[in-house]
Amino acid sequence: MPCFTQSFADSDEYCVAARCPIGIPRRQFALLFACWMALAPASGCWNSPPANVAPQQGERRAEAKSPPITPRFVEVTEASGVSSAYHNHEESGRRAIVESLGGGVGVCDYDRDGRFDLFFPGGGTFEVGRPLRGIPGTLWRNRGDMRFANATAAAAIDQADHYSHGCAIADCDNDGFPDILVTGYGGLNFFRNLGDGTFVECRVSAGLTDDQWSSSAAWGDFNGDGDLDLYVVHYVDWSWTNDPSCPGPRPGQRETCSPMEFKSLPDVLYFSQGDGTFRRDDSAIGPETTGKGLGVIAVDVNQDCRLDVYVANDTTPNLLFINQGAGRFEEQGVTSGTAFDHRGIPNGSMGLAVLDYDGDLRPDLWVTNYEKETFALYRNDGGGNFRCLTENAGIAALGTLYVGFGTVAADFTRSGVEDLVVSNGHIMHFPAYSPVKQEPLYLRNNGRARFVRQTFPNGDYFSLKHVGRGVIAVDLDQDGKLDLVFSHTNAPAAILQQQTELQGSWVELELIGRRSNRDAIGSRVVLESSRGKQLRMIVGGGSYLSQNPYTVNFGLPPETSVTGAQITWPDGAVQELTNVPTGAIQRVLEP
Amino acid sequence: MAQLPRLYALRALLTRDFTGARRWASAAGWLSYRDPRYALVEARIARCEGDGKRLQQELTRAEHWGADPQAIQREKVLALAQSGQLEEVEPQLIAWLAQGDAEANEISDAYVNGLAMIARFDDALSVLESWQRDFPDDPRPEYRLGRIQEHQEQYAEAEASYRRALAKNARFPPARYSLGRNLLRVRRAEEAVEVFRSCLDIRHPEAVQVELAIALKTLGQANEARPILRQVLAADPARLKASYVAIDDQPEGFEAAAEYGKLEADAMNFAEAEPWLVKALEVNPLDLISRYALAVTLRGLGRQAEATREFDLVAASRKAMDSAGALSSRIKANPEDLEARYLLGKVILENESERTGLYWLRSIFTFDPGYAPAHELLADYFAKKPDQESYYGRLADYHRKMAAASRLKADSP
Repeated sequence: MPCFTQSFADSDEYCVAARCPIGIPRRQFALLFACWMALAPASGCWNSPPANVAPQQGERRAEAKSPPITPRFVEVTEASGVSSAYHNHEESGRRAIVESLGGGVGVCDYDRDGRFDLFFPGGGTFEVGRPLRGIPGTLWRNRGDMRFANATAAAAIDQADHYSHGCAIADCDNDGFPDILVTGYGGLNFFRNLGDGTFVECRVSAGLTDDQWSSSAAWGDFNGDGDLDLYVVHYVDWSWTNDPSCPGPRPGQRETCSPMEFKSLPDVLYFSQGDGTFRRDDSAIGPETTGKGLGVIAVDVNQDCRLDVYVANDTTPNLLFINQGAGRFEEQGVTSGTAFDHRGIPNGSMGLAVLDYDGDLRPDLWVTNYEKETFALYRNDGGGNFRCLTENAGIAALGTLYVGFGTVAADFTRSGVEDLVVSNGHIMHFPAYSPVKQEPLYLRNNGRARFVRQTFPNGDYFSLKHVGRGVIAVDLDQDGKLDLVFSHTNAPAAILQQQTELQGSWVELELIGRRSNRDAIGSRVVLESSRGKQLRMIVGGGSYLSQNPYTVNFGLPPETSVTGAQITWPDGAVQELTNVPTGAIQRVLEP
Repeated sequence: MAQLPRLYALRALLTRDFTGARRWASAAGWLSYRDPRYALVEARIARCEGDGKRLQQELTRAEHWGADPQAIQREKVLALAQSGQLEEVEPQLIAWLAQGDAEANEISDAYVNGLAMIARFDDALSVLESWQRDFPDDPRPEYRLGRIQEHQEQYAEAEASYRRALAKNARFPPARYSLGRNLLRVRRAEEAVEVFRSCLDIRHPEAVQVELAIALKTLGQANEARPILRQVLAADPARLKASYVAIDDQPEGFEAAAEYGKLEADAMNFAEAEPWLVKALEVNPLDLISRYALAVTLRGLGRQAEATREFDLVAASRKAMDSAGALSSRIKANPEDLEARYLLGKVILENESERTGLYWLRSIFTFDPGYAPAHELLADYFAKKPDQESYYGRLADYHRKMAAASRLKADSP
């Protein structure tokens, strides 16, 4: 019996709580609670004026390009009340490869109060030879003013059936409330949002019965039916019966094995059946096409209004599944130029982001890689063809000693171009070339298709070393500045509040699909301003084991006026916005 | 009268200044007609340059001119030693070193190089230790140590060794060049650029120029790299070859053409890129980096079918190389896993690098001199290339015989 929720995509009404006919008693307060949340925008909690409102006063015409701004991120974790540390049970000393992946971080407004909440997968513990145990993830309700409350138990999401890694969050039943999928070793946990502030775990009834080792996952409407489907990335065939002892630098020392010691597992693809259940159909991607997957992003790379899938694989070629329509894919990684790095070599790829780094209005791909490799920047040449221009973009000059995981592209400083943030940290305990803890990177786009590493003062989060994994960018305090959240292995996650003295303004759009999926995954937004055009894609998946918000954020340099925006919805319908407000979040309904 | 230029020639040889060495040797020959010592110096220059054919010619001439047979034999032994063919000559090398031979540094140089070629690193380090102790002013022991460390991916240690070599002789080109290359490996490209720029004052700087261009390209300075590569590609091929010998490097492929082709492909100058990438692949068909760049180039030129063929070749080779990581781990866990060494050598020989493949196959004989599968594979390899080096035919015969002997031994009750 599936978890089922009625779609209210066309009504924008949140007042009917989700129904879950699997024996979970519906709570009396659900209706009232959901209604209260839906009314929150009207009371000002959700600062989202309707579409086509006039530009804010004070907006001026563009002038000469601004000098680069040094971003300032202040760690406010303790004050925020968030206390979540991913645990991999490394104290066992086993050095099993399952310990190496770590955990991510996800964001969503689970209670629809207009503020972004945070979710962290918990990890797990184990005894050699016994089934792995999961540690429940934690959900943190945003109370405003950068303060959070632990809502894990209250939201009934304190369940972990598997040793967990990542999360992929989306409103997969189009009921207005985001649902949370947790990946991990041995299976998935799928928490359906009931709309009353609670979740119910219903992976079995939803048909999400994958029992392999999953790392990342991406939601997206792959067959164009308006419902979100799910791509789940699998890693390798490790188990207690396939747990080789790999030597450390000293005799008798055990070290984490390379993924090369294991065979890859094929990924899985679930199609929504529109009734809250999913149908697995791996034939859509070709089950023989495998890799040691760690990252995935769903984005329409060739702009044919069909959502494609790019998979970051560890030591095996990355895969680019070009959507042929009706949910059938053709793998074109090698011929598209996205399987290998600039030398034609497969990398240990982990994290992914989509950005338009050169302003040509085509989505480019960004991949974080293992040490002794360079991170890879694939320029989109159009027609589904890419060239890896890592060297030209100055990325190769960073050095090769980083083990890059989560990554996010965003215009943090309102420069008009997207910068990159990368979370780094080793998987080995006795690495030969670089330390276990590593500095994260902030790569500033100089506006001429080149990136420069931004330096930070001593003591700053970016100047300190961490065992980093996931990272997301989200405006947690609704001040118009993008904040950052990092997850770490066996250390508390970090909340970084952006406190840069920024000039200029910003535009943030929340697209609400009606014919399309409610999160509008697969949409393309071009903002038109006095300084030109900027592209943002609403993607499924991305970063590493993590979930970014589906809102799109544009930075506007000083004296830049917005002239309009063009939204291409997942089905190809184009919506022109002539009046786009700045300095506010705008909710845009699909016509 | 000819003694002084002969000594200068040998001194030039110490810093791998082959042009200078040959000039001094010619002067010695002019001053002392048909002097066998002149022919022996020429033979040593040829040996150090790795020119087997000329070495043979010079030794024949030395013999005709009445050179000491022991001196002729010494050059032959050192030639075999430095190319890793130690089977027959190692006892002699050990004896010379034990006797405190006056040319112990030359012997050590050839011996260490040979030991490293067949992966006998512990033995090489033992010889290096004595060499360093006995010749504290010679930069070569530190340099050779750096090469071994660099090969073993001990980049920090290699850097320190190269710097110690340069502290002994700041102008020793192989150490300067290797320091730059080592810095480039760990992507300290800005420092590498400085080191390479400091090397440009050598007689044949083309090889250094290529590495400088690669370092500039790494920094995203393609426009600075482009004219440098064009200059190198316009140079006489003999000069380019000599430039690599001078810095003790022997790239398997046509590095300048490959880098220039990739640079132009990155800039979408596909028509300019194609011929250079084709040339690079003619020199080294296993150059997957150039083949990948060629595939991208052909795609850019709209020749999709040809591009797909090249992409498929790269993908097939990369797929075959999938096993390399696991095989390396097996060897790391158990250096005596000869099957892993054999399989790794074979897959690399066939898909990525003949030189590296040969290295892994030869490394087997350190543990089992009679390992038949490796002998058979090497016999086939050398038999297919009789024209490449004069001694390949002899090597093919040698490995065939060793394989047969091992099989016979295994079959006997």
